[in-house]
Amino acid sequence: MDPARIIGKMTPAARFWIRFAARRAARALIVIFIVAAASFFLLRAAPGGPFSGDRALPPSILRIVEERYRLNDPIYLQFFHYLQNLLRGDLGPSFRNADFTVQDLIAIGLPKTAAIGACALLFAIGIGLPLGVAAAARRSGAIDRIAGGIAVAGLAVPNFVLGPFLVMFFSLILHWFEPGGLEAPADLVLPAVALGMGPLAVILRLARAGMLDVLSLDYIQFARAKGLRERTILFRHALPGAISPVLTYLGPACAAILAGSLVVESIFSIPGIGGYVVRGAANRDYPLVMGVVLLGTAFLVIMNTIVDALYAAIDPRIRRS
Amino acid sequence: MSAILTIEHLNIEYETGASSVKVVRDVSLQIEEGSITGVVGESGSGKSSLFRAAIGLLPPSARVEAKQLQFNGVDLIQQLRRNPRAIRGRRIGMVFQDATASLNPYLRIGTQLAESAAEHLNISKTAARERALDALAEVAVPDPPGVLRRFPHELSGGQRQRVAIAIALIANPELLVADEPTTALDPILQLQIIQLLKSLRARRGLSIVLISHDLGLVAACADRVAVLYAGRVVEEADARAIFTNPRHPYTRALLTSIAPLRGERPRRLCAIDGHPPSPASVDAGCAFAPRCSNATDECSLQIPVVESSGGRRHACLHPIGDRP
Amino acid sequence: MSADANRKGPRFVEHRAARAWILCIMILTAASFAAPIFTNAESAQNLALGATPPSWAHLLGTDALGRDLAIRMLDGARISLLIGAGATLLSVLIGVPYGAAAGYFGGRADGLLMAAVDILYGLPSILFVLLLLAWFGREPGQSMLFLFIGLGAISWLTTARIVRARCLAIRELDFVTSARLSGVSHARIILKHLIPQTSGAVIAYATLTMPRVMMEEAFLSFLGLGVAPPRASWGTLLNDGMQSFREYPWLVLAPGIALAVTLAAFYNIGDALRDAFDPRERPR
Repeated sequence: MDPARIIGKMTPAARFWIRFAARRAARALIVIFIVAAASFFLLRAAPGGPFSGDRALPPSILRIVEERYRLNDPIYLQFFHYLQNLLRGDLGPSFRNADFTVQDLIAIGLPKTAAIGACALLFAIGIGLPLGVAAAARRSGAIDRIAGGIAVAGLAVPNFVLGPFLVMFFSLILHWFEPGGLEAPADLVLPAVALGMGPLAVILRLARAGMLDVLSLDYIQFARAKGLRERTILFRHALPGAISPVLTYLGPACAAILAGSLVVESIFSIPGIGGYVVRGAANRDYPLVMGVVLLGTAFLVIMNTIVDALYAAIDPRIRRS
Repeated sequence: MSAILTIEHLNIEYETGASSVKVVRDVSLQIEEGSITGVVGESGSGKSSLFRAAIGLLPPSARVEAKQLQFNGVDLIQQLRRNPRAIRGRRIGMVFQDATASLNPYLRIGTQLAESAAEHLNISKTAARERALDALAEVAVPDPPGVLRRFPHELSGGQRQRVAIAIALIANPELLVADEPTTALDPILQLQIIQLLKSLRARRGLSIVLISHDLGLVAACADRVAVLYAGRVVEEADARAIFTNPRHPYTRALLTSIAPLRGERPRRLCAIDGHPPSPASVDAGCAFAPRCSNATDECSLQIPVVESSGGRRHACLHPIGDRP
Repeated sequence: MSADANRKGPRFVEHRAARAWILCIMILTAASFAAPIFTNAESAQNLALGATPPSWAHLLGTDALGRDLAIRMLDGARISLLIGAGATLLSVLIGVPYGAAAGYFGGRADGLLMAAVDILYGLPSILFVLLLLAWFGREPGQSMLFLFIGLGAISWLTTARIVRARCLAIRELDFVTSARLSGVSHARIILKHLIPQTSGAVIAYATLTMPRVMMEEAFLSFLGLGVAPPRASWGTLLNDGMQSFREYPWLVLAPGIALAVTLAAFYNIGDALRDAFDPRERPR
């Protein structure tokens, strides 16, 4: 059947979502291509090669190595090869971890990093959002004051300070949690808290400010005049209008959690992606750094797309335009 | 006829930091069952605060004090403290000036109607939907099933105000407070909404309070009119008496500042000189005295007592038609 | 608008908490720059002494090499503050002209310039830092420069946005129109008329950029990617302390608390400044 006719038969909402998906997929590919190109050429243009480091290799071996990693091809050819492999899901061999491809290393580290990151994000949203709503609902009340304290502390205490403090207090003094490693689900608690506290503070601030803005609007007065329960007013009527700054922040929140996982993994001795990429950056393991950069970019592009889809799902006025 | 809402000696004060501002002063008023009562005043006259107090919608900084605030035999002050939702929306419905802002842009009309029905009538989802359809039909919205699925931005301004009225009425309240319900609409739609209010009164015996700054509009439908100035009722009478024979100079000034009604001889429009006093500044004497052409020295010294006779009352030392 | 800012200025000065925080920062800055004059000898290693907990001789204790932690912290403060101030300055130097140009010219130029900002916003700064890091490598001496440039280069986006929004509004005002009609050059209008008008918001936002940059610097130093030894910033000290914090907790507690308090000071000052100059801006 003719695709144009299929689209013609759809409801406006379905048409909107199909167009949305198509546009977003195109944009995502462009962004990933740009990031791939920029990081590829930036890294290749860097002074000094990966094997010119501390221990100089004998010239003959160096030639073999460079041959193997195609370092002597013209640079555009190298990039072309890289893209070709990328399409097949092959991120190339790691320069510094012989016998491992980049995707091998990612496959080893990603589940741990993802588990901590997801817990941190859930923690940040799950505590930050309701706390912000509650603080706005009872302005200047006890919860509001506690929330204000958390908001300041969350910004001022970076995750790499909070992490050691958490270990000291909850592991070494109270013995509630293991000080490191990732053996049991309980081991996720401290890293997730250390990682999620910063985003939690921001979500809390944004949710509170957004709710305060919305709660003064006429439609909330009207909802009150209708005699609805306070809970219904807060969550059904006020939250959709208040949540868009929080949604906007989810992209940066994921970026912050991604970045924070580098240090949190090292504090809690968790063998995730973070450790590889820090070492890779210091050692000029280009394929590894690039692979992680691309993975991070792809993840953030997807997150931002989800956020925009959520906007449209919440606000009917966006869907129409 | 009996009173559905009795207000006696009601005061409303807003606490702002160290000081406080009185916005409603010693107001007594009765709303008769099945009537349309117009409450007229400029902005800041306290007319909105007065009725928001009756459904407990004032901000927390407001302090309400009254000798009596009774609704169909219920002590509103106590009831609002104990369980405001038994009153709000259930027994007293309210609509506001701007229906575009009153309706939640994120929710379908059907949701906004049905949630009220479900909340107050304790009925199933399907029954709530049925009730919503009935309510839309009652306010004469075309294509009720279609409107249920729409979002507010997909309706016209007049339709939105009808929907807001339908929401306010969905739980069959005995009293509807309409706070400037037509101000945001153009004249033709204004008239339609007024017609709708009148027909609702006729059909289901709904009592209506119509708050407005527009005496002309009130003239078109009210049975009784109360005129508020600076937080006080300065005159209250049957609508006919107010318009043909105002006794308070402020009422007369309001009448001369509106365009003539249908069939009336055109006359000169004049604005009232000066500005309404800010609620914070009124202390002694008649608040209207500085703008009043009848005022004497006495007027700025003592607050005029309310004099009532023949079913009307006014608060003025030198009422019109009473000159020696 | 500047009259407006002046009128609101006193409100900030009266902000008592903010004044206390400013005093904290000033004392810290003065102490960190004065420290090398007095304390050269004591910062030396003392392997015989080793790590000792806080005492009267060494207020914050000593590290495993017997170095006085208080003195190392003051040295670190100097470096953290320098890098923070330098990178913030760089971000202002990039962001203000960029945003002013976008706001002043408007139209297609504005669209293009801001689209670039939006794209950069979408990319996480940490990826950019990782790339820069791999580029510069770990050659000592380069790391300070790298931190200036790298952190400044990723911190100007919000400044540009704020300045652009201001300039979009200001360029419609009469005095800009009259300047343009009387033949004043674009560059001169931007420099003389637009940028001064935005100074309040820029200062307020720069005060909020400062702690962010210091945090990023500490973050990189903590990873061992920042300031190269023997120099140490608070991040480096934290990282050092982490190696042995079970035995010597004070080595983590002191720099951690110092960093948190300093960041809190800057955030509070910045918030107060923003309230004073620009009540509408919200934190991003």
